[in-house]
Amino acid sequence: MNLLEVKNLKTYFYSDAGVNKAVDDISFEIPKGKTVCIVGESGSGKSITSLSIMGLIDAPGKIEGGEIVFEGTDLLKLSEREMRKVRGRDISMIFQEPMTSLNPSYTVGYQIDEALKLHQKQLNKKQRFEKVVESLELVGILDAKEKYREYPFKLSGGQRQRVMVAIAMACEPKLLIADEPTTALDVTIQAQVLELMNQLQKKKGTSILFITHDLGVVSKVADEVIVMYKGHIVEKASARELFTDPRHPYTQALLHSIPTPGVTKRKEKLATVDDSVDYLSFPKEIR
Amino acid sequence: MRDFIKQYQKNKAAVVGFIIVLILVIMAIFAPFIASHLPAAQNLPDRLIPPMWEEGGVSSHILGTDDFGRDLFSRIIYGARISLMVGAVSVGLSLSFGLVMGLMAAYFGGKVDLFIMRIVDIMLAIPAILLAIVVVSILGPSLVNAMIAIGVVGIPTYARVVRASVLAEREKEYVIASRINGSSNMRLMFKVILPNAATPIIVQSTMGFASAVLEAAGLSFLGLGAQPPMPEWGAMLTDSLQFIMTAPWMIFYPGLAIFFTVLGFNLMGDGLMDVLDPKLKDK
Repeated sequence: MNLLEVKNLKTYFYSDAGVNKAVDDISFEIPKGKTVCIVGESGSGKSITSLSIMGLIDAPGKIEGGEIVFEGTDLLKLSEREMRKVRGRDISMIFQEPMTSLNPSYTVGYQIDEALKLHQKQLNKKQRFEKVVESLELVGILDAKEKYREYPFKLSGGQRQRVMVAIAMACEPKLLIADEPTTALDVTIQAQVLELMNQLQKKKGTSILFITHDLGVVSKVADEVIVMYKGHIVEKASARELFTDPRHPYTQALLHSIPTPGVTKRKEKLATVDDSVDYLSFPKEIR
Repeated sequence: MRDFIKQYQKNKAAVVGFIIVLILVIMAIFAPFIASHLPAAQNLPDRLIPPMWEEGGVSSHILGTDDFGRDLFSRIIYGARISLMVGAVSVGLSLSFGLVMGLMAAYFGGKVDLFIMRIVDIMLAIPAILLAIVVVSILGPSLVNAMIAIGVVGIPTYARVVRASVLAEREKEYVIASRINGSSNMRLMFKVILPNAATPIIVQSTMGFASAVLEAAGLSFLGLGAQPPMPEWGAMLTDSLQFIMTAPWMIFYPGLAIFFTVLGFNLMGDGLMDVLDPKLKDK
């Protein structure tokens, strides 16, 4: 059962220098309760894809075509007002920089509370307070009641990212889009946050669209993987298939460039993805 | 809050500024208790008495009297009320309009930005004093009209400051994050962005207070602001020009009052700038 189906999405950016086809005719599905990863290098179009889904493409960008069907409704056909109801409640998003993703002028608790105020108007103040504390505990923040009153600058990067997840999950969305949420964190914290997301998915049945350039992260969370290059999807497969049997030359180059402990020899030159090769000329591998 | 006070105290000049402003506020609030006479009370037999420490001075008139026998000290004390009011009203006016204009220009961008900023540019192209004189000439000379004129003249400065500050915050991720949570435009502008863009606006307002007092004094000096017998310091300067050789204290003390007021607010604004900026930037 598919929660989200993207069909032939085209998002272009216009400037005096010409047209940049950031996302050029891509199609994919996100099944219910599963994690789909979009992998690709910077500029591949992965973030633009998520922003397109959220309807946050502003001028000079424009969604030129396609459909984004969420639970039977084409999001591209909704008005801004209707889209605002979807945002935060049905689909929510977390970002890369926990330092700047939280509003520095408000306490952590207030920001989670705000999300509840917007989308769960039936709750009163006390109920909201309890839900906020519950969210903070859910993401593994100790002393939730004290942390409620803290400002973001008092928290560490890992804690802030957890708060971000708490805000995103406060209204129990059906789809969580995570745009490189662990890139700015150190490896141990990264592992914790990923584990948290896996747990939340099991508990709440949320679908996750995980965007990253880190194949190591992909191996930890993905059910399905989409490889993007220059606005196109070059390979689509289940996580297992991708890692054991990568078919597209670009995917193969990506996997090849990861140094493997025990295999890659010391002082051996790391393999890179060759820029001169036109990876788009190879047939797309959709499984 | 405690951190704020501690950091503010590190700048000695800023503390001095704050004390000056505090004194002014106390002078304004408790004027009837501090002043020895009523500001408009004429006493012609006692005209042009020098300050009490000079030859010919009396202890009942600490800073002497003016050409109508009015006590200078009391007039200066009551003048604080007028100056503070002028500062507050003018800045309030400039800020209200400037804030909305700057916010909308920065938030919506595109044609809205172009339109609003062209208006701002036009307003800035006209010299402030000239514009103020025109406004007062149309409305008629009075303190209230002077405040309106100064307020109007100040709008473009605040619009620019607000716009620059909001533009810097607008692209930050927490704004996008809030939008993603379904915030409306109004909410984003006023509740999400504005608190974070407030610092330069607060600093500008504090210093704008000083400018407003100075400009009001200037307008009163030209006869376009406070009308007699109001003890507005600038007006007091005008009235005293003819006595510059014979009764210099009439010019000196009101001038000194203006000087300290402007100094106080500027120092405080400087201090605020130092304290608010790094804290909000780093953390």
